[in-house]
Amino acid sequence: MYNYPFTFLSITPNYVSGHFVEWQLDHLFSDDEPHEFTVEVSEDSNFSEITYALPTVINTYFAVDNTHTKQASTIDFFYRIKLKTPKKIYYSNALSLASGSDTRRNYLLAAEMVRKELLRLRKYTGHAVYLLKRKNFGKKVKESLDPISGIVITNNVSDFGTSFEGGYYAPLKTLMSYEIVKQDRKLSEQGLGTVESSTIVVRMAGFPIANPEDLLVDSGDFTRYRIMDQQIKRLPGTSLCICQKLTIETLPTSDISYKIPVENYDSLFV
Amino acid sequence: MIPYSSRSNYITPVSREIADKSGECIQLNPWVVQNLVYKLIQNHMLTNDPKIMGYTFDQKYSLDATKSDIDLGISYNYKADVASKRPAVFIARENAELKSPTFGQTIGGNVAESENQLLSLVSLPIRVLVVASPLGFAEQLADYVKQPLMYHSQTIQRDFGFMKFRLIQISKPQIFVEAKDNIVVELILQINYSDGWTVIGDHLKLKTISGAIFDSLKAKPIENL
Repeated sequence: MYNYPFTFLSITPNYVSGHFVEWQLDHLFSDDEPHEFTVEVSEDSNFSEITYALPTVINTYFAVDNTHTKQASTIDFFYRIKLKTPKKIYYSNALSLASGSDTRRNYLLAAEMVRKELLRLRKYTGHAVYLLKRKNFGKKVKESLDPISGIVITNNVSDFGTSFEGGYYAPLKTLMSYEIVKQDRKLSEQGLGTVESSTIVVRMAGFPIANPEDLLVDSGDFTRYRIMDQQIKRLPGTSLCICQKLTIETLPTSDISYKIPVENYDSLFV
Repeated sequence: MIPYSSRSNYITPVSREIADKSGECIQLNPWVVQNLVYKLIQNHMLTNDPKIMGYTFDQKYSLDATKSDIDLGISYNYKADVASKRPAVFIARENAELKSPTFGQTIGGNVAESENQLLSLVSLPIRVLVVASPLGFAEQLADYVKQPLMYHSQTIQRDFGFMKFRLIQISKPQIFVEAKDNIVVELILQINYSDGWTVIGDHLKLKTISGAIFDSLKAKPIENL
């Protein structure tokens, strides 16, 4: 029985579209669905009084605080995530926008850099993509698992080779800019046919956090990319992620991920 | 150079009979053997649905490349239009080793007709590379592809006139880092066959010479002929 299933928490300021709160749960967390997440906001780190709560979201990994309540740098709000499952209610630790910052000045510098990064993407270099976050917990597809070892033995549309039902969370439309694109097509030395290898480096805002094994889908031609490597840039003295540099590679068109439906989802940057 | 007879390849009575019936037979060489393995796997995947055979994966092979979920190909064949699909099965050949167990490769001849029959024994390992992701699927797919090569090896050996057709190894899974970390499982086949040929020279035909020895003074040999 878990008392604290959260393994990652993050909040990134975005004074236009709303502050982005995201979380991850332990991959061994096995409470039945639905997992109802409610982000609670308080002016007190002990949450003795809840100032407001965001609408409950189900079976996802993020929420957006677009109440535009915190606009002044002097007001501190604390956020925590309430997870309600059929079994139990869990609360995450409190986090604030300035948490992890040495000084308020550092936080303001970092927040301004985040804003400029978003401005750069929105106005100049951004290319719309969908982020498909790979599920790391949830209901498992029993038919896809080996009855003895429990490892996934298929690559079907029920779980897309992840062993978790659905495989990926709903697509999240975001922006990225292509920094380096290197593509090559040649015969595999091992005799494994014509291999299209590519090294593409892209830059994304500091949220949502994209992990290796997550997928990106080009909104133009719907090409699927797999994230191979991730670098996060933070301003020293703060915990705010200013931008991410991702090394991605093109997936072959026969990859099962091309069967994940991706269409008409709202953008984070509208 | 006089062309050799392709039928001389088939030295077993069974295969010679098959060749006679068909009126045409294939000259075995490493390339042809590789293509035969390709065709065997293709026929297996076209006629045996993995679901019916008890496998849990959905992917199927189709002759229509746009509809096929599994790519089947010969190794080192460059495709200019599109990169190879995954999951995939590739057939590659190793070095073919030729051995001649008889003096001067000769196994027979007909001096009167200036015929010289020769033979070389060929040992050819064929690698069937099964590539898929994740690991469990690659192992399942390898097991599915293995079926005709292992369970029908005797029939294949007899029908194609091989001296040996055996699945001798199912390799350990190996990582193939491409756009996705694919896993490769190799099925290694040992195929032995004979490559025989007849050289017919244009030498003058030998004439028959006969003679008689007479040891009797009374005999009249010419009258007795």
